[in-house]
Amino acid sequence: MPLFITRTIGLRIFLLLGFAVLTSSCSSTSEEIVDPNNKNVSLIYGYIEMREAKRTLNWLSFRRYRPSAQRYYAKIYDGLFYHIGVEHGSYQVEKFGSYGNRSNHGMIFTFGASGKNQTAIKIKKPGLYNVGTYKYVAEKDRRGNRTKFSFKKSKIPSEKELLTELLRSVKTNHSDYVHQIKWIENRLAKL
Amino acid sequence: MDKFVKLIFVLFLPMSIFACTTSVGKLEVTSLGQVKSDEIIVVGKIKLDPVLDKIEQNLSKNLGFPFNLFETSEALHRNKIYISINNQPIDINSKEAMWHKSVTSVNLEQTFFIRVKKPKTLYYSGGLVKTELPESLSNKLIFPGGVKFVIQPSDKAVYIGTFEYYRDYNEVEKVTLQNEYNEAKNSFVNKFGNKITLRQVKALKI
Repeated sequence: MPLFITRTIGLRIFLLLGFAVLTSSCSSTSEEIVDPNNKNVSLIYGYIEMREAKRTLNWLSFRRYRPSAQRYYAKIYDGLFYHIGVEHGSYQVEKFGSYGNRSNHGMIFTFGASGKNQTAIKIKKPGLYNVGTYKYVAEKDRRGNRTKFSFKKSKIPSEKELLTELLRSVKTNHSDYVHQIKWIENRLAKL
Repeated sequence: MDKFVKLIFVLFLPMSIFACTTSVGKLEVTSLGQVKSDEIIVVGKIKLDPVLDKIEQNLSKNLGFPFNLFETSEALHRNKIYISINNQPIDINSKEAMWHKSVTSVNLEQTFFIRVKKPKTLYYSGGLVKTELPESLSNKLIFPGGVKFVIQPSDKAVYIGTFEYYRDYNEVEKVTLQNEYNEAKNSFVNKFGNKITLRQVKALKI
């Protein structure tokens, strides 16, 4: 019984700390409103299948490294993640995670502070940029705990399926962004 | 006994953390009186391209009692780099580098003035920037050094140059050593007067 209480207290502390970290990181860079008429921005998107993490993808941040540091929070729809208008520069997925609920605590997955990961992409001119479709793979550390992860390239969903979903989401949530909608439609027409 | 151990832990852990975090960064010189007879002043600058942005350092201040008594993280780490300049090179990639006695924090993009025990050869082993607390190997940015400088017995103050690190995806792609001696000398004279000479020294590969 004392063990159970300790665990419960531990869980509460963990949840409180996790919430504090999450709120502090979210508040450091608020979601910017992108001007729908801005022709200099790009739409960046990708997909993560999280089944092996036993969690749902609830949030994801893109990091820009050059010409200056910037953080963009993506819109999420069932594994699909995208940002409607990022400026040119060097990008990659930095962190992602899931919110906690009654049965699971929230999780934050991070690629660390330095170095490229598989999602790295350079945006030089406005357009549609796909950082890839991946499967989350849980990996064991030295002690055998599943605290590490990697991304495995995946072909499911296909680019066509992903773009169809992206188009539906953008038309629903960002109907003013005619340039972005045009880019998706043009790419779909080629597939 | 158990309660006593817990009490000790609660009381002394924050104090020991505070002591550890403040043990570095005390080599910066603000007046000549701080410089001992067997020490020299090393002058230089570390620049990042692009410059370090506020969003790159998540130094959570609101850690709650008793950690909030000190509020050290912002003052200690914001826009600062921990550099190693000493009479021996150290491995800046090692876990222990941060706590090496030769490591001191200086402001990025600003001329630094630090005191070092006068060596025959001075080594710059590189620097570390903390991106997140608590500290781990994955939340530090590492900037390599790998140069040395020959010191003359008569030297009281030496200028080593401005190290500029060009980075992408937080990996250093290029390092340049710039000569900003005139600017550094003006700052030196404004700070310490004309009593001692600031000599420019040449960087050599280790």
